[in-house]
Amino acid sequence: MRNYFLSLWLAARRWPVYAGLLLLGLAAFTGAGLRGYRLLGDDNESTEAERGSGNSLTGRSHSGHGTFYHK
Amino acid sequence: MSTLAPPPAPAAWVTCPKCATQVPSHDPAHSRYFGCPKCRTFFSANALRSDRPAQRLEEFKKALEPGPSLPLGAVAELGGYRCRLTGYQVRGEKNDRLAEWREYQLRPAEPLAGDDPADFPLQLAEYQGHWLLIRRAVEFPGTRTSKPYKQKRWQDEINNRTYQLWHRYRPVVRDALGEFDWNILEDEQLTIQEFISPPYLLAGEYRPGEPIAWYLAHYLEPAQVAAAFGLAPAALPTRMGVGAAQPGPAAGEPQLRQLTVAAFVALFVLQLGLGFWRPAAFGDEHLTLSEPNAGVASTVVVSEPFDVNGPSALSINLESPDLLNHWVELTASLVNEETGRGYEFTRSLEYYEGVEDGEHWTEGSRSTQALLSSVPSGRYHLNFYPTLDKGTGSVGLRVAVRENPVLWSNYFLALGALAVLPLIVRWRRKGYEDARWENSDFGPVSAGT
Repeated sequence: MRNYFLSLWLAARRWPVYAGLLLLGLAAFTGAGLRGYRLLGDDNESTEAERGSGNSLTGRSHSGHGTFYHK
Repeated sequence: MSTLAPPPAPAAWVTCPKCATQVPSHDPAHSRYFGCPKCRTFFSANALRSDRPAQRLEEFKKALEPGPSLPLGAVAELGGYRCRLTGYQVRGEKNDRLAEWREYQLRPAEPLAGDDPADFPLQLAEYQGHWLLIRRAVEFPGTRTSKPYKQKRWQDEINNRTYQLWHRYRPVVRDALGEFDWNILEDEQLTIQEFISPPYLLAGEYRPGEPIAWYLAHYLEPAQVAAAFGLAPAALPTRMGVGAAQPGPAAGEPQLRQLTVAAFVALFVLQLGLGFWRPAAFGDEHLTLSEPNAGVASTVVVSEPFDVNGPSALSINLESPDLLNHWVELTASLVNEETGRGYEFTRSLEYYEGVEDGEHWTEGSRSTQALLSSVPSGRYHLNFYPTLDKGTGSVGLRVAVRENPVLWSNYFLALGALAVLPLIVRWRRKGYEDARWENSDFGPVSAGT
């Protein structure tokens, strides 16, 4: 195992930029995973302007506009 | 151009038997064959025995252009020796009128009293601007089989090199200048087989009835040759294509592969670790969707509130198990009850089935999915604004919210990003190797190996 990591270290020294990018990539992947961030985007269609604007989509109080069926 | 000092005066002279030109001999103790620079006669002579007349052996038709690019008599440090360039010859192949390369004989700069060093003679060979320093192989490379050279590809286990058959030919001498310590015309009886393991080329010379003589060549950059002879690199022939033993552009590819494999493993472990660290949480609810009553503009269906321990991705699965031959369009809004922030998405469900010509058919799907990324912690509920196909009546809607779903798209995207550089290096190497093997009859493509 020690020899493997030694050879890995030598390989990283042979390709230092790539090794650095690998570490950055793995860190970014972990960060995205921990934050539940999907790199390819998601299905959210609301724009930033709509978010938190308190319009009719934001609360249960507006459910009176229609028939409320909730089991 | 050349900054080389004029070569020192030769130790002796021989006389051309045809035109009586005086030909210098820098190594009269060993040189026995000479090429006349004036009339292109190749002859044998002994500079130390003036009583023995020179003998004509060959008369080359003409001086082949461009002639030697290194000056005869020049001294250079090559292969760990201080050498003098004493002979020049142009060689070709018996079965190929076009192939032509130049070979330069190197002798010790100071005449030796005894035998040559073990790895002499040294030679430089130039083909299309690519240079090889050739020396006698002191021993044949170590292998398990006794005659690996009968294979197209074999392993030198002592030096950890894989040799591939590059070329097999019979040489012809087309021009010669200077002095030689062997009769180069006898080399036309040879069959030569060359194997490459860049930057090395191993050549075996087969002469009927004699053991194979092995020579190991090492690729030299033109700048190295120019520097050794004190020449400007532009004075040497322009390099064309890829040389047989020219090192590839990605000499560290095995290390790159090792790093990539390690990164792939690390990525997989991280993906598993994320699944354990942030296990998926599920929430399930059954709602009913109905067409609005007369005079009602729209219907809003609201889910029970639920907590999100974020930031987290949310996967929302929608399924209408009793939808049949109708469609439902759902505009959904995930609402944070504390901040009012909303996340919207729209999905359609449609499912049709029937029997036609005795065959049952279905079209569409009763379920769909949406994914919301990086949803902060908080208490949320879902508002649904359904639009139902006329005549749908009431249908159930099963809403399954999953927190921390496995984001495989992140995994495959990262996998692809990590593979970009290795793939570029591999692609470049393949193009390079294809160009190299264009000059060989035994390439991986042409030979089908």
